[in-house]
Amino acid sequence: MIYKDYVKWDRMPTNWCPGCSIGTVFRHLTLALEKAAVPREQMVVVSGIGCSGRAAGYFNVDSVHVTHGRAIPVAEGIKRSNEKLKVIVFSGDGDLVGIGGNHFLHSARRDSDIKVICINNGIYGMTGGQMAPTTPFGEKTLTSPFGTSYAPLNIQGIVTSNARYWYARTSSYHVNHLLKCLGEALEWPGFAFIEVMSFCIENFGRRQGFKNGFDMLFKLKQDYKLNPKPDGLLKNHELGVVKNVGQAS
Amino acid sequence: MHQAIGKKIDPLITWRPEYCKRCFTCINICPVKNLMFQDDEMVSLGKCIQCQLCEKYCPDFTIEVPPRKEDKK
Ligand SMILES: Cc1ncc(C[n+]2csc(CCOP(=O)(O)OP(=O)(O)O)c2C)c(N)n1
Ligand SMILES: [Mg+2]
Repeated sequence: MIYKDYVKWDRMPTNWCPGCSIGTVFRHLTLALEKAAVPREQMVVVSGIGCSGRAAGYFNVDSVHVTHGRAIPVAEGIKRSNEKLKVIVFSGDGDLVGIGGNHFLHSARRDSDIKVICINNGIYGMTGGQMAPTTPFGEKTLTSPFGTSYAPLNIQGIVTSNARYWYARTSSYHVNHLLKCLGEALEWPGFAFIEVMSFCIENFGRRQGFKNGFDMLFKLKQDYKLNPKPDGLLKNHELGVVKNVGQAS
Repeated sequence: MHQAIGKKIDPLITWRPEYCKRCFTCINICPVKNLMFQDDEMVSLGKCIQCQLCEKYCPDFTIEVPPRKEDKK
């Protein structure tokens, strides 16, 4: 099976804005599925609400587009009822760690065997660019016109506070690293969380003075550096994988 | 349904106008500045080195470039 078989072509083009990199991540996920040779009948994609959440509808496999924030519990339920399936969650930051934060916390704690891909654009993109729990400190958004006064959520800290974890931070600019992380996550037996640093041009970037999607893409290149062998946890602005095969005690 | 067939704008490059959103990411990512738009149509200047960056970064499955022969091995 090649990557094109995982895409629902009659739904193309996608409704993501021109220059939005969710499509790039979507494409690389299909490539990773091709590499891992996951049969189409043995996988499910679950998405919540948001721009990133539209991805479930573009997969030519069984997929569920669930209510806002509930992608992780639905995925966990599917996995528990049929252990053979590979269950992938593809959703946004506001969906997974904002409204769905508590589900995320506990699925990570239970180490349920689902692969979570979180497009972190630091904003509630679909609803117009409101401040999200992941918005970087001091950024101007629709609901924080003078800059946010809160620090963003430490997703890595939440995942790695468990005994057994797999966490990757990657970006939609570093596509080779992204593909590698997606492949590794598909193989990991347990809760795998990939935070894909991304951007939103129309509802966030324009307010910061960016003119085009690719300008924000090149900013990701400047902002993030790869760390192939992290010593402990990843620092801010570092991309890499941290994992621990320890047993829950 | 299958993917749109697309146009050959160069012996190496296939472009699918049906999916293209004209985001200009491919044009700006190209290391040899091979691609450009002319009257809403993408054209190639014939300098393609088959690095496939445009294909990798295209969010909409619009561009396709075959890999170099030596990379295939
Ligand atoms: C229960 C509920 N509350 C609020 C909303 C409105 N809403 C729709 S999308 C969205 C934000 C999604 O943000 P994110 O998950 O980051 O996705 P993005 O659009 O940024 O990719 C919100 C708040 C909703 N649909 N349902
Ligand atoms: Mg978001």
